[in-house]
Amino acid sequence: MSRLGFWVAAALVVIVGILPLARVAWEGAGDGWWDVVLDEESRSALVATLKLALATTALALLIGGAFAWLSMRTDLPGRRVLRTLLTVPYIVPPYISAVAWINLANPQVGLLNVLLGEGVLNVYSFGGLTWVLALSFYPYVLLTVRAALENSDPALEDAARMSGAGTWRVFRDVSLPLMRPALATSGGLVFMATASAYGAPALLGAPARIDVLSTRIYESLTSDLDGLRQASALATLLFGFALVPLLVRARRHAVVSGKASRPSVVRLGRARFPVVLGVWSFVLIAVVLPALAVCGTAFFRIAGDFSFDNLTSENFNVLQRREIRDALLTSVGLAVGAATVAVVLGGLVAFLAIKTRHRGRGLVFGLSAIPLATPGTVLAIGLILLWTRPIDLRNTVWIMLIAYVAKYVALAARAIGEGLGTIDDVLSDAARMSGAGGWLRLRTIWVPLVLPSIVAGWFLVFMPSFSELTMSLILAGPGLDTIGTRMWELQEYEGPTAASVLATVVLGLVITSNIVLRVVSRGRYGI
Amino acid sequence: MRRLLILLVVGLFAGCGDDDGKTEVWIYSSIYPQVIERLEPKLDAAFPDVRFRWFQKGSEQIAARLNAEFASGDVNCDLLMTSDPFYYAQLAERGLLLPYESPQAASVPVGMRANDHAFTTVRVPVMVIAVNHERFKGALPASFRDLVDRRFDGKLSMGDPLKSGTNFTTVAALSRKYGWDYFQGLRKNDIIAAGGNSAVLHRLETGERPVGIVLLENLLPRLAKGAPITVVYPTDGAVPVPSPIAILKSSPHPELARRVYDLFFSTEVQASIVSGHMYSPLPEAAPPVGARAWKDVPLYPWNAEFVETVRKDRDAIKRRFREIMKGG
Amino acid sequence: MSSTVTLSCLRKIYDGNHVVKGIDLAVAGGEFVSLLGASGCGKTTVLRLVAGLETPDEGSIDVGERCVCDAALGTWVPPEDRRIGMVFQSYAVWPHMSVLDNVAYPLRVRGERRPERRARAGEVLALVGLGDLGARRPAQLSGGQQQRVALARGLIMEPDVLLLDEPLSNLDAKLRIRMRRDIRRIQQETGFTVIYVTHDQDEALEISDRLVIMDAGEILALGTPAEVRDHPFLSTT
Ligand SMILES: Nc1ncnc2c1ncn2[C@@H]1O[C@H](COP(=O)(O)OP(=O)(O)OP(=O)(O)O)[C@@H](O)[C@H]1O
Ligand SMILES: [Mg+2]
Repeated sequence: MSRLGFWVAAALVVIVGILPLARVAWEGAGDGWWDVVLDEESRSALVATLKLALATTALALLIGGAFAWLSMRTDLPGRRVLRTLLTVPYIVPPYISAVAWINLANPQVGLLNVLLGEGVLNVYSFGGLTWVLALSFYPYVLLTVRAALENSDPALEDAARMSGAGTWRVFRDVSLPLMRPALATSGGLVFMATASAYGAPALLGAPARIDVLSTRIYESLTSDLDGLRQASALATLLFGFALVPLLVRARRHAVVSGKASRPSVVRLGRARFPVVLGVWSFVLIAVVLPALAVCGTAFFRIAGDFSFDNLTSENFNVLQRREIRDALLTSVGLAVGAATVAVVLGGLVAFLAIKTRHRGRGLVFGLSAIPLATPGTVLAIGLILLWTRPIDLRNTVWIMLIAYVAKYVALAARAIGEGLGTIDDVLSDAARMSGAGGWLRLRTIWVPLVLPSIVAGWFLVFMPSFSELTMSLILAGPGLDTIGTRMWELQEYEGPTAASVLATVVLGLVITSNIVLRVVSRGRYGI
Repeated sequence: MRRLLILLVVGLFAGCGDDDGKTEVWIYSSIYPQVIERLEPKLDAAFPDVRFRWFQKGSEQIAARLNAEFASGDVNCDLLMTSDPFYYAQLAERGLLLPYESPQAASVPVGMRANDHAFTTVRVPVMVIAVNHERFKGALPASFRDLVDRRFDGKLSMGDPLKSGTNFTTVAALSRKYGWDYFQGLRKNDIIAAGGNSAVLHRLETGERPVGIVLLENLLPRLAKGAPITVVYPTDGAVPVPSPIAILKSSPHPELARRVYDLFFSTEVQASIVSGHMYSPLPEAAPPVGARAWKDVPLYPWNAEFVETVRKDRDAIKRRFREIMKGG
Repeated sequence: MSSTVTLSCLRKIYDGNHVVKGIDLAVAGGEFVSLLGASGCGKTTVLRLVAGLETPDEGSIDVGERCVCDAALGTWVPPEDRRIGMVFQSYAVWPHMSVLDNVAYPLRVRGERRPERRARAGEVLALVGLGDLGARRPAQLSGGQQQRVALARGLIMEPDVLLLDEPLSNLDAKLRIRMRRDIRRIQQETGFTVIYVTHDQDEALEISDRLVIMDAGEILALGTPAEVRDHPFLSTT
């Protein structure tokens, strides 16, 4: 089973994600390659991309790691609500949250600056861009680490406590090392996703005079007939970014051994009050305010005029349009499909990489992440190049499904991989000794045990697929418009207020279904 | 799950095309979705045997997709209607367009037609200045030239010419007219050049940047909604962005494409385009609601020679602009 | 229902570290053999080799007529096809299943119907003294109770060969004596072969047909309880 599984997984990863990129790279190969890569402007964009990716990764790790631990392993008050609230920044599409942050923190009339004094905060800066990106991506860390922690034995922390360690030392000496593999993995995801992000760098980077590779690539792809060559050369630089996370290796500890343990929590003790204060201020600033900025905009006729008579609900009329409702359906279907396929494929890739000794397993795991480090524009172009002849998938829903799976499968693979890494093989050995074969073990032991990670991985893929913009704008043929493309259209042709309506609907829809899911499953599933 | 399956299956068949014997004509277009909505019944009435398929996205996405289709050697597009005239010039130079002299388009001004009829302007967005008069209390600018005045320090925004075709056109025109010093001046006034025209409008409305260089078509619907915006038609010439229509040489049914092409210059279809807040290239057409009459708009002189020069200088113009904006 | 187990020249090397150094051992069908030896001497490794959870670097293993593993020939039968049961030193109870489902799992694998396997699991649970805890999750059990779940899961299988790795280490003295007699009784009733690892000499001497004394990956002594009773290893520890 492992042999067959390996070849199936390898073939799918290559066909879905690698061939289209190879096709793009082929366009750029040749004499011009070095000219583009050695160009002064390319080099400065490369350096800026690297700096931005590193800073964003660091910040996302800090936020995501701290909150994962606090909300899973401590007696922090309100940690259940917190778990859901903290995923809100991931539900708001990145391009929408960038606009929300422009509203909140532009130096001239940003709402926060109105409160704090003009020019105190400047979203058009390296720091601002890092902040906005980190808010979009810290959920990678949060969800991956959280799912890994869900399984681990609290006795490990209790033991440190009994050895006389205080809250901070328990965290530093026991919890942190236990979280390290999940942190390293999800940090790698943030790094790659930042390197390829387009929306926020385009909106905030230009005024901040920061040029990154993804915006340069977009510029060459979208105007000149010969831009493909240049874009493809620049994109090959980004493929390198997918390799960086592979250099960071953290030893995994199987913390779910065969001995079952009771869940217990670390008492924060004296640290409780300052921690609570810090946590809820963060939630207010980073979660509630931007969400309010998005939803708030939806209720005004003219953006930026906060007078009472400017309030209106007529923006919501766009929801009556048939094409908007069609787009909602298309997006739900595509996102459910992409998330499900990604979880199956990613789970298989992760299982092979972490639980088998098959040769080449690490390579497949690594390859599956390259599309994440590639800008959506490039991937979309690659898919069109690839799927024109002999099989023409342009203007079908398939090419979009492939695009989403290719781009985000690494999120599922890594999240599930972390979950698998915490589980001792002896649990599967015991099933073997009961006579269970491969598929049965997968179904009855592995899947239920890593279910928290599978749910996390599913959500990690579902959300960005649901509101995906960059690739859909190139791929969505007639009748296949998505929420993302419709939101973009409203923004372009009818102004920001109409687009906010859709963002509000997305937010409401996802949060509501999450709550329903939680209630129906008595808290077992949901985010 | 079942709905998903249905969706997927439907999607598959949508991709294969419905088998009702109709010829498919693909139009890649960046005009307003509402305009297309208004056009569709007219086209369907005029061509009952044709199924029109619209790939409706921004000019930039369409260019990206079309470039990929050229590279893959199989182009879907029959008619192309985007806003970047220089892209057409490049396509024409490579011989990828099918020249056609439409009798319907005879009255389009000569400067707005390709010399060899490879493409013809079918609509004319214009770039003007807009001021949020509630947020900016100083004297209004009268011309593009005025914007380098220090009273606009920290007040200005425009679209990013590196990412938006219409804004590239503006930069090309103004840099030719005033030289790059002009943009040094805008840079000194800390202009934000980011996003597309909608981003400029957003900054204008929120008061973040109460003065902007932006397309008239983005302003008109907001004016109708009561936005506190004054439109300034710059005395030194609003920049027109004559947006062409062209037939791809690879089109499998050129005769049909020509008839569709003609139709786009009919009074009726032109009226639909004008209702999308753009000017018509036909001199006799009415202006969009809320806009000045065409003859009263001072314009940057547009001609084929300008298009040709800019097409050649495209990279240099972008590079120079980038340098200036990055420089302190 | 009983199989011989024959180990020939069995060798296992972990990263250059010789953990099992060429062991030969023939266990007769229906025999009860105990492995005794200092911590870290390789007892668990031998069991895992027999089970098929590890592959030997040298040597071969026969179960009954069948060669399940031969390093030289590359023969290897996967563990689930060897008809061998195992109770793990670390219990390996599944946290996501109820106690009853844990115990009934081998029957589920075999495709037995739900009511039957639940009834049978209930019986075996009663045997290990957990009759009324079937509905609980393992996390709600004490360490010793979890160990008995693991044991019950091994017993319910009635395999040809059962490998028991310190199955009673966490129980109180009284319960231990009762449980080992139960194991012995069931083994004699059903007749399967047992390889039993323990640190408790009395236990080994009482229930085994033969004892194997291991040291540093080698067999030090081998014989019936009467034969090895006076071995220096037993008297010094
Ligand atoms: N996966 C492994 N990698 C490296 N060394 C191992 C591994 N498993 C076991 N060892 C080593 O092999 C030796 C034998 O281990 P084994 O578990 O068989 O001992 P044991 O006799 O069962 O000990 P105990 O009575 O403590 O359970 C030990 O020295 C151990 O450190
Ligand atoms: Mg052992």
